[in-house]
Amino acid sequence: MSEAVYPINIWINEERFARLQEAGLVDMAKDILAGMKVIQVLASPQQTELILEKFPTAKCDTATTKTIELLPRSVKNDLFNLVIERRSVNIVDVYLESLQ
Amino acid sequence: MACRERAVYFARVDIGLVVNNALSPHGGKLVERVLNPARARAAIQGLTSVPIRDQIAIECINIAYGFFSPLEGFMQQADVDAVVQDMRLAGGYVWSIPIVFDMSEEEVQQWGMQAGKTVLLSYQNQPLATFEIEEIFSYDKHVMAQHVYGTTDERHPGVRRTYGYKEKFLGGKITLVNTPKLNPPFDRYWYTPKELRRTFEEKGWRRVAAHQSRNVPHAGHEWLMKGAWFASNADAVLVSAVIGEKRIGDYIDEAIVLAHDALRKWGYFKEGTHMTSILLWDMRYAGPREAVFHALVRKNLGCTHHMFGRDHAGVGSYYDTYAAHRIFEELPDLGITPVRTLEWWYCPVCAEVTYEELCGHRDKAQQFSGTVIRSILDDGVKPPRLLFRPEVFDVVMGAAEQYGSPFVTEAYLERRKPILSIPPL
Repeated sequence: MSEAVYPINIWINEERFARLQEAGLVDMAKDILAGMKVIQVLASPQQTELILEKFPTAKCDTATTKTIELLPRSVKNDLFNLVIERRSVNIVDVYLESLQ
Repeated sequence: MACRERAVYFARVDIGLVVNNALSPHGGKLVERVLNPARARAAIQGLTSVPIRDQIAIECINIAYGFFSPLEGFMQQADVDAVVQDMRLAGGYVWSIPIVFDMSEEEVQQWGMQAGKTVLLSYQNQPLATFEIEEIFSYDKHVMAQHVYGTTDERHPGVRRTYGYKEKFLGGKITLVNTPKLNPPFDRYWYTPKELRRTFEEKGWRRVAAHQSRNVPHAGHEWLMKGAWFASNADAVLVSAVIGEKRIGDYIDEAIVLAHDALRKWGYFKEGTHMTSILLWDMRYAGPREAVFHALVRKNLGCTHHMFGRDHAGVGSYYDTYAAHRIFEELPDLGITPVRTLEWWYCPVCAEVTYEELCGHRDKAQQFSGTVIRSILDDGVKPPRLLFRPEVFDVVMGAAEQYGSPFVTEAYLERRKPILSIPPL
């Protein structure tokens, strides 16, 4: 894996948007594709490798979007919950610790 | 053949003088090796019945109906070696993927397989095809993998398939003795090459651009097809959806064919400009070599053009992004024109899905891919119609309701109805 940092995309559905609104964190979501919003959680190359190893259905789309996609929805829900709780997108280390 | 004559022969083969690769069908004649029921019943009398697995069964069907013209059976050693080393059949026609029948030594003994013998291949406990065995041989699988896939890395699915072949290969002619019945919804999209060529003629389609797909179409795919239609001055686009072995997370085949047909049904392609069909094939992910194979198969279907986007038939990062574009420059005229396309992306300034070579707002480009769209759907988000047609979305949601998910899961693999059934003869 190269030294590039690939964001994990958590796409914002209606339920997640409502929770962002409730938490006053709507501005944390970015409009990155035709008006669709996403919370981007950044993972270091080492963290990315760990995540891809742990969740083999996930894919690092290096060819096009340079993002990490196809993590199980439950994983993205857990990451999203941590973002809301900590009011920050820097939560991957906390998440990985919780897996141990 | 004397030594000097061999040298001249191979030199002529090398510069493509001996065979005309531009003939359509490939090799100049559409293979059709299918017996009617009465002749089939007579032909199989007394033959040893040998059960075969999915891959071999669909390749028997493909060989017999001419999808793989000029192949008339599973390859003998000379063909395997020529294909592996030179991307040619022994007779000189371009061919890029070995089509082989493998068996263990034990199975060869168990079933009494020997050159000169004809056996009956059975599938789903029904007779499928006769196999006139002409040769039994061994072949170095590492050499096969290295040349066909450009790697011997076992993480490559094609390499893994190759290493999984048993120790013996059997070459010989195949004749179908039983007609496969495609199960719904695939029955509506199943055409043999002869049937497809007749359909094109009936519709007055002289120029047809093939679109290979293993995905539910998003707007990038739709514009790839439309761009190729323009570039080919085509009468129509033929979607040739590859139906075969699936990986967890792939779209299910039912969603793929119904979603492609939805583009025609709902007018994103005017009636008479688009058609969906299926090709039974287990992807090898051989990148550029598989692009050549796909082109030849679609030529056999009657297509005149074949579109190739980014990373065609690739996997991981084994192949350069546009290796499948460049390989055709190394080959003689194959009688089917490759239509090479670069990226389509969403541009918020143009406010549309647009093409890399036309959009002047590269710094604003919002790229998307099948992977991203799958991720978005999986997160319960409905993409805007500019990126993903609502009728295609409805097909995907319908598949989710009917099959539990629009994506392949273990549960889906366990419960799915076979794509085809072999009826009693």
